[in-house]
Amino acid sequence: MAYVEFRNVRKVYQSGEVKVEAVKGVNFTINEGELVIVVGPSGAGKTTVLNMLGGMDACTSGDIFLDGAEISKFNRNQLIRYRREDVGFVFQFYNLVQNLTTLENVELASQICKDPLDAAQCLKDVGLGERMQNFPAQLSGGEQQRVAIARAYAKNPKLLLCDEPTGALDYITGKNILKLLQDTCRNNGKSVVIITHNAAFEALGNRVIRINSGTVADVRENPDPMDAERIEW
Amino acid sequence: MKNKAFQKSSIRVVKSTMTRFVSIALISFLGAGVFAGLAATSPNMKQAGDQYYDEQNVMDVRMLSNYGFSNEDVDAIRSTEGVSGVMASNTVDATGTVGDKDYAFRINGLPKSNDPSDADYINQMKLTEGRWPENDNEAIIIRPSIGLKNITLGSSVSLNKESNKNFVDFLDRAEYTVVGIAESPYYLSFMQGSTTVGNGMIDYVLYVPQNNFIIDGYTDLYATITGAKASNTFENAYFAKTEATVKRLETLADQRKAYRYDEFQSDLSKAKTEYADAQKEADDKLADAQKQLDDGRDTLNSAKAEYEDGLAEYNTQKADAEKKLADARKKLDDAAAEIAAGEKELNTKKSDFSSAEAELKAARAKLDSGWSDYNSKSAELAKNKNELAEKKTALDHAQAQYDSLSQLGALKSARDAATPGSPQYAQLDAQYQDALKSAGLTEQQADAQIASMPAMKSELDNNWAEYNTAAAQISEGEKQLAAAKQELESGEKEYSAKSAELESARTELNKAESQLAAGKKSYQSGLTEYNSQKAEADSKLANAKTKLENAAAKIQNGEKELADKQKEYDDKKAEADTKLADAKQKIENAEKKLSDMGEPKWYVLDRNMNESFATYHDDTGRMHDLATVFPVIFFLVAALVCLTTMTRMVDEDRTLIGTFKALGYSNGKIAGRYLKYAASASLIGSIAGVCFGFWLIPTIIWNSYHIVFALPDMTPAFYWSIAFLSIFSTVFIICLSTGIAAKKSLVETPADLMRPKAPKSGKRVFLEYVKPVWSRLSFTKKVTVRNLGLNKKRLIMTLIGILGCTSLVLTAFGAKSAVGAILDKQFGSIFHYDASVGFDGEKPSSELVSRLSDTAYFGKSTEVLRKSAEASPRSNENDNYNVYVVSPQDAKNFTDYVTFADPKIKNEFNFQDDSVVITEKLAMNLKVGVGDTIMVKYLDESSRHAVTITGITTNYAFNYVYIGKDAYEKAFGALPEYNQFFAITAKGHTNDEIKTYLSSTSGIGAISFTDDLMGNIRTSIKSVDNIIWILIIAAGMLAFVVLYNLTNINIGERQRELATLKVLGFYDKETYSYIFRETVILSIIGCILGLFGGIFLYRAVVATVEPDMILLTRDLTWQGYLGAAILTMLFTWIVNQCMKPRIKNIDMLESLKSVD
Ligand SMILES: Nc1ncnc2c1ncn2[C@@H]1O[C@H](COP(=O)(O)OP(=O)(O)O)[C@@H](O)[C@H]1O
Ligand SMILES: [Mg+2]
Repeated sequence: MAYVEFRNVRKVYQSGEVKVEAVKGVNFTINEGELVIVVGPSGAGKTTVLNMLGGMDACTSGDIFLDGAEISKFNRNQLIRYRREDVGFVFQFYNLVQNLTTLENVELASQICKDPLDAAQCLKDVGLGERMQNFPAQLSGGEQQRVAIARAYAKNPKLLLCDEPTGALDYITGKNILKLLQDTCRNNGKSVVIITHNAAFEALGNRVIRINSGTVADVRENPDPMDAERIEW
Repeated sequence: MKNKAFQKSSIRVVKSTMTRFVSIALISFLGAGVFAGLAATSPNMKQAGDQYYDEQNVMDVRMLSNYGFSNEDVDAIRSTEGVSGVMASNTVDATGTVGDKDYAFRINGLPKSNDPSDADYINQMKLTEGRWPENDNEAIIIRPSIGLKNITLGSSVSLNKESNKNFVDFLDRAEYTVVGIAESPYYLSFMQGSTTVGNGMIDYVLYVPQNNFIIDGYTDLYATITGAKASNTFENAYFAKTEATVKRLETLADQRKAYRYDEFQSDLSKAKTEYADAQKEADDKLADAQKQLDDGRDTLNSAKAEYEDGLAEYNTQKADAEKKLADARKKLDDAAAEIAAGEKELNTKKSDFSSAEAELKAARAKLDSGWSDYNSKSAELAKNKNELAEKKTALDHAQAQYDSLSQLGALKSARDAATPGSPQYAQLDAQYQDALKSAGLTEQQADAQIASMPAMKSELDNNWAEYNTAAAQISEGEKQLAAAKQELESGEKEYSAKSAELESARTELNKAESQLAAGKKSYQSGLTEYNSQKAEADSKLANAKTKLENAAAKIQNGEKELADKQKEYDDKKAEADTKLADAKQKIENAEKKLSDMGEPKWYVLDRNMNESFATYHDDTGRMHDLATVFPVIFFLVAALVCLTTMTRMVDEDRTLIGTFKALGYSNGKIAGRYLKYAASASLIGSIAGVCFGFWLIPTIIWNSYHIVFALPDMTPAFYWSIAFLSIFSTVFIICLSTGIAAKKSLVETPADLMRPKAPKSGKRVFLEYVKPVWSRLSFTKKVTVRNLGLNKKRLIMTLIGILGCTSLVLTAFGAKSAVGAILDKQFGSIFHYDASVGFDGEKPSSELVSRLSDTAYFGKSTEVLRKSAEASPRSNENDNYNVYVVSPQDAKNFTDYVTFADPKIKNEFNFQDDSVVITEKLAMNLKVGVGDTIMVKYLDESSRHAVTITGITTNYAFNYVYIGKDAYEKAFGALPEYNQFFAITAKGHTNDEIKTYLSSTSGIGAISFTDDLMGNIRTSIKSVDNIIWILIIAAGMLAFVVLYNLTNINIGERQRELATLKVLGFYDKETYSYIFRETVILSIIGCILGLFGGIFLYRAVVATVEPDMILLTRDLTWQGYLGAAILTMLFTWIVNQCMKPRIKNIDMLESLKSVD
């Protein structure tokens, strides 16, 4: 059985009378240690898929499995524990706690896990060993995103989920971030899922899932992903 | 220019930021409500009170006179300009008993009319139960606010005539039955006034039919003033309106009192002349009677003397006659005795004679027989002599034979003795043979005869002895015979002598016999004479006696008559005396009264002098003051809440403001948006608050006042001015803070505004440098600490809000425990006596003293004086306070009954005979200290006495002036007149038992127990409870609004952080504490500050609301602090609970979607 499996997952948003079917029966699998690129145009339902996978949102129907556990059946508390132990998130807008230093932001996540990595080491790994005592506001966007990645990674999760991690960053910085994520996957064997609307990123992934208006348009395995430094867009 | 889009956006803003809108509305509600409610209470109370006063036609002026009022006085007052109604009445105070309880009563005369439309029916009562009295022995009782205890319809009230020296002059009936229960506007307060009877406080007010008052004229006059009802009596306008009429009445009083005084004095002098006349008449009449009586007495006396003389004569006569008779009698008796003796002697002699005769005869016979005896004996003797002579011859012969034989015998023995054959022998034998031959005998015969010789010898001796005896007998007989002969011869002689003697005796006897017969005869005749003499004397004496007896009877009659007359006289005299004495007493009383009362005085008293009015007025004033203390906190908090809320709102709208500005909207227009937003929230809130406050707060306060004032229900009123003021100030404050909040953003350029505001950078706080502490904090705690330093406005708002909340609660608890502690402290550690036992007269009866020393019932007791008085500073007579003057007989041990302690340094001190100790509150009121002099005036006297304070003592309820004996004498010029005992009761008997034990004692006055007093106070202070609830509710709301607002803003501001935490997998609890920790910390700090602030608020409030006679402790208890802290934290907890769902429901996805 695959590490991650989506079976016929649907998500319908209902606001008032209006029903929006954001995800319409999605099926795919991911293997452990893969770098997965989920790609698709804005509004296709990528974030929705990722949120369901990350236990932040419930699916309307269908089943989601991670490492044998059926996430789609989890109750509220189980979901919290799932997010706490098994998933690391990286957002487009970093979402760091402004009142905590970079180190503290990382520790904030690591302290609640059973088996965390060393927070300071993680920061060094993302190249911020010198900035540990700075507050987020004192860092650039890329640096903040690195902190966010360090924070997600320090939890030592089964799955690292990144929603448009470069969306708010300039080209170079974006590239660096992608490199960081790719290295994380490669060096540490973590399963990483990166969402992007940028098709150029497809080359990075071991697996590319293309989503279009709520459905999986195409799943493609890529036996020889490109190094992050080399991709251009 | 109307801009629809702009408008719409405004409305949508309200909808989308409901919690913010609610925050502002709520704090406005609270601020305006508290302000309006508290501010309305005082006018509302005034209005309700005034309405009640108007409805019940309460007097505007009460007049008192030490001389009373006549009907002319009443008429004069009635015709004074401005006076619309006049009611005259009488009032007297007395203690009385209902069931087994003693109370102090004020007895008023019932008004003539009970028609509410009658202008002269003043101080109209509201009959709540029963009916009006129909008979003279029926009464109405006024129900005080704290209830009637054991008095109900049908209860009988038995007044104690002795309790008031004037009672019998006022009322001729002491027993009444309660037939109606009423409320009186004149007696609103549960403290119905001071009195000189009982324990100094009036317990109940009775109205009895005016007929029972036997006093001339009236003691009290009540008058109403035209037009006075139009003004509120609790406002100055009322006094301004009544002033003129009061002045006129005072002028009138000056005239009338002089007139009345003259009248009184002329009445007195008239009465005096009348008295003198009456006395003269009575004296004359009595003198007449006395003279008659004296005459009668004289006659009687002479009769008595006469009788006395007669009696004496009779007695001498009687004695004389008796003496004579006695003499005669004695002679007779002597004679009789003599006769008897003579007879007796004669008889003796006779018997002597006859015995002598007989003796003589016997002697003759004896002599005769003696002679014959002699003769016979003589013959016998002669014969015996012959026989003896014959016997002698025979004997002599025998003797001779025996002698020869004895010779033979001697020879033979001699021969036998010699040796046979010897010469000698032969010789002897030869001799012997010769003798034998002479005797003619052979040897054998001789041997036989010699052998019979001893027998012969003894026979011979016997015969010789016999012979000798006989010979002696014969010689004796001869001697005897001779003697007998001699005797006989002398007897013969004696006989003849006696015979002669007897003969002479016979002659003598005969002579004596004849003499006795003669004596007897003469006695007999003497006796006859005596008897006749005696009879004569007896009859004479009997006559005299009868006469005397008659005289005595006459005297007795005379005496009885005299006694009757005397009694008659005495009765008459006594009657006249009592009558005169009564009249005299009356005159004396009147004179004494005149001299005691001195100058005639009329008092014209306005409503301020009515205890109920004054207390109520003070209370409305206190409510007014209270209304200025509390709202400040609420307004301050409102401003801060609004400031923080609006700041946040403006911050959130940065981009929008920038956009509007870029679009060309003016600053004013944009600011208007926020002002309108805040104003509409605060308008809605404050209007609701005002309406709610107008209703709730006066109602609660009124309800609590119900316990101390008997008042009808109050209708909450709407006061436009207060409503306007409170809404305006609330909205103004809100708008002002909104303006301040908006200004900061508005001054920025659109470009700056369009750019997202740089997120507030994290800042290092001081605590981080304290490594040991900091490193122990979890990250969320670190966040909390950093956040606290981040937003000063919010910090201050929250702190002030919580501070306000805590201090309000602390004040509430403080007030409650202070009020409760009054009882514990006053009766637990200051007053140690359990009962006061009054007595009538100057001294307690010994019975009472002995019962009080019965250790089964009492521990100990001491005599004291206790009287109601007024104390004032030396300089200002009108600034007076009700006090009790207490003067103990035994100063040294008085601390066993009352503890004296210095209020400042708390140490106890002793009481001495020269001490003057006043209570703390009195010292505060009078603004005096040790060494200062104050004036004391008894309620029933007019003179003021100066006393110099030597000590001030802690005391919580009522005011006391304790004066030692010596100091008392110095100040009052006389020793204290003790009127009661303070007693400490022994355990094991209930108060009722103790009361029963004492109540039969003679001269006993009112008995009251401190327990009962405690009960009264306990009831009255329940009124505080409601106020305390107001405070606690207000505090809770304050805390709620502030914390709600704080949390709300925090959640709004940190939504992203919270969502992040959730995404990171924080459990709900962990997420909550991320927000709530800050709230809790602020609450704790605010609470601690509030515990300090509360001390000041509490003191301020106590200083404002404390009544004159109560001292509330300024100290707060640890329970109060703890309670305030717990309650504050409870409010915090509640607010947190309310906010939990908001945190829980934060949508992570939504929050993380975009940059804010
Ligand atoms: N909370 C929501 N309520 C209603 N519709 C939503 C919600 N979130 C997403 N959608 C809709 O679902 C669709 C998919 O959105 P999303 O997953 O965010 O797309 P993508 O991440 O691919 O740009 C979109 O059409 C969007 O409008
Ligand atoms: Mg997306």
